[in-house]
Amino acid sequence: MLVTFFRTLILYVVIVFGVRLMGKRQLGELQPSELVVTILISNIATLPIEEVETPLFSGLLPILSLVTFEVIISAVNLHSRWMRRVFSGSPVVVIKNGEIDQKKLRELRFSVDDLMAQLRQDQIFAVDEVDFAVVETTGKLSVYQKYGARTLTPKTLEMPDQPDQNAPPLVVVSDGHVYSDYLALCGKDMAWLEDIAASRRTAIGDIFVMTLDQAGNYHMVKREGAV
Amino acid sequence: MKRLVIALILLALIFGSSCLSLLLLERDLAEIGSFAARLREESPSAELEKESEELFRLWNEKEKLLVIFVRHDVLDEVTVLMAELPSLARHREYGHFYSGLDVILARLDDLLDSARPTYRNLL
Repeated sequence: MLVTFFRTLILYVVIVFGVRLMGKRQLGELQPSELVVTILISNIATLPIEEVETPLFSGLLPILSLVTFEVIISAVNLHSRWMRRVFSGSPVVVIKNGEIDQKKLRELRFSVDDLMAQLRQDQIFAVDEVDFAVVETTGKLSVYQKYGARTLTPKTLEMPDQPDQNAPPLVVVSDGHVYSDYLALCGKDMAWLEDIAASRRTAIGDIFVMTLDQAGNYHMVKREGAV
Repeated sequence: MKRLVIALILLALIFGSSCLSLLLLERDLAEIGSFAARLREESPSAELEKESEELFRLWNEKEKLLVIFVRHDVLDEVTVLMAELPSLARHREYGHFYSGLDVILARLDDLLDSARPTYRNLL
């Protein structure tokens, strides 16, 4: 039993390392090659865990090989459009100037129900609201709505820009831990944070969460039970 | 770029360790195989018991390394066959002794063949 436990632990560490090495792309929308690698890794990893007869080395080797292939291929894809097309395919326009391209839909084996379901996920319930739609290489539908159906924005209303409203609030203290990078990004330092904490009669370690934007607006929540 | 460098280093390590494992397997199995083949050629005598014990000791020594990259059930099968040899020689069951050696030699050959990246293994 201990053997299985330690083998599982080693595989867990190696797979987490592998997924980290593949980067954030692996955690979001998957490209075809990334999907293949993910499925293969999840299957291969179970073999040395279930079968103690299999050397752990035989399980680790294909997992790490797949991870390295994926990293190398994605690096090559970055520089070669042809390789990108081979490994990931190309986006396909399925609605152009408000007209559905039925031939393209058939080629993609994309039914009208699939198209409508994807549109509804973007809060679009009528096809005539769409000007342009592309099926991305990840299989996700990107939609550009007709002018009359688009969400009203300050730009449409020709309202003046407010630069201080463009930067989102960032978490600068979480559970008493200070994120210095975010603090610096908002143009503040530890001395400012200590002053704010002192003015609220609390220690930094007693702050549960604190957000701050680049305009200097902050919101602080003290830890429960803190004086 | 950092990720690519790590991946390339990792790939070199994987390829290197795979080649090394094949070389070690070839070296160890050749040593055991030649010992077993020599034993196979010897005439029935009292020496066979001692020499088969020596073969078993040598196998146990090599198995400690082989266990890292060879399926354990395959190694266990050879271990069982090796462990029987001294007893068979002691009780002068030479027919079984020599057929046991034949099975061991065939198993060692299979083991080596299955580890080589030949077109038959790849396909």
